[in-house]
Amino acid sequence: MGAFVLAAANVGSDDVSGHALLPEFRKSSLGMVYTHAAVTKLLQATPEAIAKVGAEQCGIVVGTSQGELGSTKEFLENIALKGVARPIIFQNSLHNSTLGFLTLQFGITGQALTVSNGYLSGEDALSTALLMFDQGLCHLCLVVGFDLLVDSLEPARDLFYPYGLKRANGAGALMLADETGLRRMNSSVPLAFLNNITVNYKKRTLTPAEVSENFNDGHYEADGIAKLVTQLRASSACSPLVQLKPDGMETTITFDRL
Amino acid sequence: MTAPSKNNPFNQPVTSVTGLGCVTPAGLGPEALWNAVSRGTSLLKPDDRGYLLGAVAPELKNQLREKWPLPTKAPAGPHKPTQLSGVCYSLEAIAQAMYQAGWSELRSDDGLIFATTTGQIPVWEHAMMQFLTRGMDVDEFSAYFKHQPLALTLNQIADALAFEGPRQLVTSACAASTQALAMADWWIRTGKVRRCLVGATELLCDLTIRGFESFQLLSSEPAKPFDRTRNGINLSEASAFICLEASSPASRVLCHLSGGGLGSDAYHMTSPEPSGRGSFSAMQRALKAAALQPSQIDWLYAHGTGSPHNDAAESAAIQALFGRELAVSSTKAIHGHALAASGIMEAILAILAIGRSTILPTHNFVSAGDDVTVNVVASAINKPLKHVLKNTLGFGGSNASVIFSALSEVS
Repeated sequence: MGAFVLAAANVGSDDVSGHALLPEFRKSSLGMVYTHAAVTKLLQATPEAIAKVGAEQCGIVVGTSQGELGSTKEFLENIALKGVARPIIFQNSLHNSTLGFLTLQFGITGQALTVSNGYLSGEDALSTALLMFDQGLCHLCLVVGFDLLVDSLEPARDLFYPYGLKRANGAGALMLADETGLRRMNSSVPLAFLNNITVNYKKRTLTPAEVSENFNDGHYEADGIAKLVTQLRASSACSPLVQLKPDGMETTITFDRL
Repeated sequence: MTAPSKNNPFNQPVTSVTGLGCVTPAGLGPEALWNAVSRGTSLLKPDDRGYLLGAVAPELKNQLREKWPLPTKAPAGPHKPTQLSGVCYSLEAIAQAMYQAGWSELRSDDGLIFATTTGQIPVWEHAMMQFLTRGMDVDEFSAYFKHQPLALTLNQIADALAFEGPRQLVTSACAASTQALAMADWWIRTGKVRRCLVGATELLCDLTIRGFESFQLLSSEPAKPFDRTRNGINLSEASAFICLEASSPASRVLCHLSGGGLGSDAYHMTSPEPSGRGSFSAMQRALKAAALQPSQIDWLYAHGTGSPHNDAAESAAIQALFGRELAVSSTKAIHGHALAASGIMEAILAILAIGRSTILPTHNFVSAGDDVTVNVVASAINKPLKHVLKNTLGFGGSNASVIFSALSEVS
């Protein structure tokens, strides 16, 4: 089991500044804007990746904890305050809406699913992708993790996190391939080979020092992929990547640099 | 591990179904649901806006909340939520399934896969509006809002079972629990786990009722899947769980989960691609995973929501892959559409059908629309069922299919 990492991308608020105003995102949610930007970055080096491997052989897994909470809030708010139920906003409000948008935008017709498991959303998306390769279900897979703040709800959400934890919007994405996918991509040189992901599900309360050390650069629940992206890009960093979560759980991602 | 065979050429573990459990508008347990569907007893009632919905009976809801006290409770006060039922329903359905399977606990090397679309939203959606309109302070609201993450139900289930093993949550809209079944099959085939508890819980809520209403998809009549006069869906709620194992005593095995497949339309955010290409791919992949030919499927248990576009697209996909003769049914006219839970709830009916050699009827179907070219079954058929395909289509163009096979058909 395992997969080649062909491309990696992180997206923050600076990367999508103004995107939501573009005509092509007029009916889109902010989650769709972020994840679209992440996948676009992935495809920058190999724009024909999906076509080369075949749309039916390309899978996609999206991991998100909060999903499209902003659209959910907006839909219900419109009903409560204006008595209007806007179908476009409802269609954007489900956790799966982002996946649907991405498959539409990038023409992906392979195996596609959305997973959501709090702080493990990113890692679960990665594990699912590795499983799909292991079962021969795809030759290329895009894996995207994202989560966003919803301004008016943040005073309530702040209470759920350890004191001092800094949160932010973000999306991280990886393009993975098996050997067949790698051959069809022809000119791509993999960044790494992703071996395995394990999770320690035991929860505990973090110390203030742990919070400060681990979560001082803008955390979001599904940032497991983003942190792997950062690790892969750091020339001196090596496997494994151990990630401590705000509730004390830990994930370990092992990979080989190539 | 099993010996290689025609149906298992790669010598992977065979996934066996050993336990079923559910809470539905029919009441407790698979038998109540089967009886309602086989007898044609509608489980739908009108809400205050006239839409037919399938809700768990209030008295049953209260009984389950007493039976399964939760580790956390919403605060008392003027804004006390009307229900906190997602975990209660889930634990009841899990208890039924595990009892039938003979599981006394979930071990750390077992797996738990859960599916839902909106989680415990009935707990917090009203509170959120109170908070946003300054009718509730942040401390009180946070007690409701902490139930917002979908994974909360999953984690509460894990905590209630003292389970520390691998768990995942799939939330691909109406295809979610079918995808969860397919994922569980992958987990067992790859040896990640030897046993897996798979389930889904979906609760009726304002978001989905008003949302589907905004699409003009809700009907004030019972759904008429595939019928010429079909005009919409009936939403419902349910919790359903299935125990899956890599190997178990033959006496416990109800049937086998032979394979699953997923597919994506890449066409529209809510409407299915008219030719049903995503569903076609999902069914085709399920057949490949099960090492079966289309001709070997005895019954296609459709998604069949009663929506004009869904049924047309699904019919097109079925006809393209299976032709016009294969028996096709939908049971949503009786129990409604339970969104993420629909796949696994109806999978339970499919499993019972295999055991009882019965193809369930499509109630309220009189004659097919011009856009439906498959053999929709209006009355029950007694017939040995070797392989049954369960289909689901979801918003976002997510499609998933799973195949269940009788014991005699898998080595």
